[in-house]
Amino acid sequence: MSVDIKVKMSLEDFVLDVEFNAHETAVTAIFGASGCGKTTLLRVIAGLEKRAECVINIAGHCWQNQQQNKPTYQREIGYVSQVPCLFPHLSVKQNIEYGYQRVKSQQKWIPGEVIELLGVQHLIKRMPMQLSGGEKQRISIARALLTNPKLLLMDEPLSALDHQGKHELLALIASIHDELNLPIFYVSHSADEVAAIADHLILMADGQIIASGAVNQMLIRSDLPMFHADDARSVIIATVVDYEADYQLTHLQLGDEQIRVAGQSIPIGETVRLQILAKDVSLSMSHVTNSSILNILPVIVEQIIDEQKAAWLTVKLKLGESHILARITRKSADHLALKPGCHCFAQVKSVALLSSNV
Amino acid sequence: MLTELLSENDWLAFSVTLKLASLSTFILIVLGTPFAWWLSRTRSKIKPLIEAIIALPIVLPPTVLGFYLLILLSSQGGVGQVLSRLGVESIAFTFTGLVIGSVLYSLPFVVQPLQTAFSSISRQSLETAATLRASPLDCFFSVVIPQARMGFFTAIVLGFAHTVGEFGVVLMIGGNIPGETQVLSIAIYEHVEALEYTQAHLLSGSLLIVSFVMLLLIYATNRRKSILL
Repeated sequence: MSVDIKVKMSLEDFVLDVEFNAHETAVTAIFGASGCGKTTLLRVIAGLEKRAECVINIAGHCWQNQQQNKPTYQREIGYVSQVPCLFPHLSVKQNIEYGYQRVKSQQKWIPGEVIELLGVQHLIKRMPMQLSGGEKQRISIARALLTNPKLLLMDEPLSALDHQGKHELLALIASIHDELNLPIFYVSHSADEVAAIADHLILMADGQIIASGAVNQMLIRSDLPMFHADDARSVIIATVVDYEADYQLTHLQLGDEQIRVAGQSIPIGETVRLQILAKDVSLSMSHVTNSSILNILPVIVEQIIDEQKAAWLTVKLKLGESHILARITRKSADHLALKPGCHCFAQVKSVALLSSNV
Repeated sequence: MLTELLSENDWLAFSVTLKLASLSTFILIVLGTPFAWWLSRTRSKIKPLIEAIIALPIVLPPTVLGFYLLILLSSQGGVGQVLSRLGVESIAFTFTGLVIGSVLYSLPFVVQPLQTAFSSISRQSLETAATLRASPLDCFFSVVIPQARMGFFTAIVLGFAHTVGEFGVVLMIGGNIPGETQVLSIAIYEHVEALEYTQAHLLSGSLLIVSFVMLLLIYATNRRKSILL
């Protein structure tokens, strides 16, 4: 069982024409520049765009094809929009329960549990206009979850939030996904968010899908724009093997190598997702021992892409069975005489632990 | 004391006016709500035409409207002929005719506040309700009406007050039948004609106070709302 989507719709500047299927429990990020049609795609799936021709099948139920077209209110979706829209005439509690009261089927959740999961207990007696942007978005997520959706659609849910708010809500969405195991379509133009929560990535431009695949694979494909961006990054999967209590460091196994990350939050044996920003990786030809950098890993240069003759370039490195990226200056690359096949050492200045239960 | 000054006809005029205004307002809200909703959402090319027609009673002398209605509703008029074929007697100079006249005359005062209130409800609000499983009708009652409640309040008060204050249309199509079509504004006119200034004062004064209180209510409520937001 999966989620099958096929959409065709003429927009002002281009034709939205996409076809894909997503796994039933995965987070699928729909990624692309502003105006590439990703929000419209979500709206079509929600049944909010009347002119679209499409076929939408969710876990064995047809929502739309040539013969039928269920109106939005009969589609079992949860929709979280960019700017949260709470009903101003209802209290926060009434907002949260608005969809819940209209769902007849058996509920996975009751309001109390969702209110607790989202940490909004202290807000429920207030009116929406008394809330901050982040609080409003939490309420709108709670409200959407309580309709017992078969598919959660999120349209840049963090875009209206400040840095701290983004971080907290991203962790929350990841934990919601862990708890609920429901498919999430997550529209975004932030590589940061995509790397943190998506399993699968669909890259869109001008209404078309230009590439799709597992997130860790997509981020290191040199034919895609993310690879060449200043915020290029790689995502790797590792296993927690040890905790060094004296220094409060968690040890993670990745093939033959160990990576150390500050802090302790995850039990030994769990698999986790790590993100390494390409600009946090520098290269040296020998193993530097007198360095403050903790993670110095032997790697093999696989690819050096230098098309633009710009100051910076991205190097794709093989680390055991995984890949990481390094963003270095072209001058350094020439100085080190880097070539594909070179053995060298990657000095990783920082590793971000993104989520457990991969 | 005061009550002794007013004749039985004056009291009848009070009750006719009240009945007329309540019934007209009720009909206006029932008819005006879907109409105003359509106007607030449509992109139809005929929207300006419809809006202009609805606004006509604001600028037109009531006698003009009354005159055409009289022609239309009398037994020789178009509507009158159809009605008489159906076995209904002429409705000119009846309470029914008066209600029809009032509804047309006060239409803009009900439709316009409703339309303004509906227009200020965002499309996102309606779409959000739909994604939360509310059918269009459910959404109308659970999202639109509560958010447009100030518009309804204004529409009801204006529709009622405007009907109470009407004179020209009533004079043309209702005539002056005590207990049937004689309303307060006509009764006042009658008293003045007969130089019964005390009675005219009493009736005018009460209309003045009622109208003022109703308008005060609207503005006070609007102010409270804007402070809250």
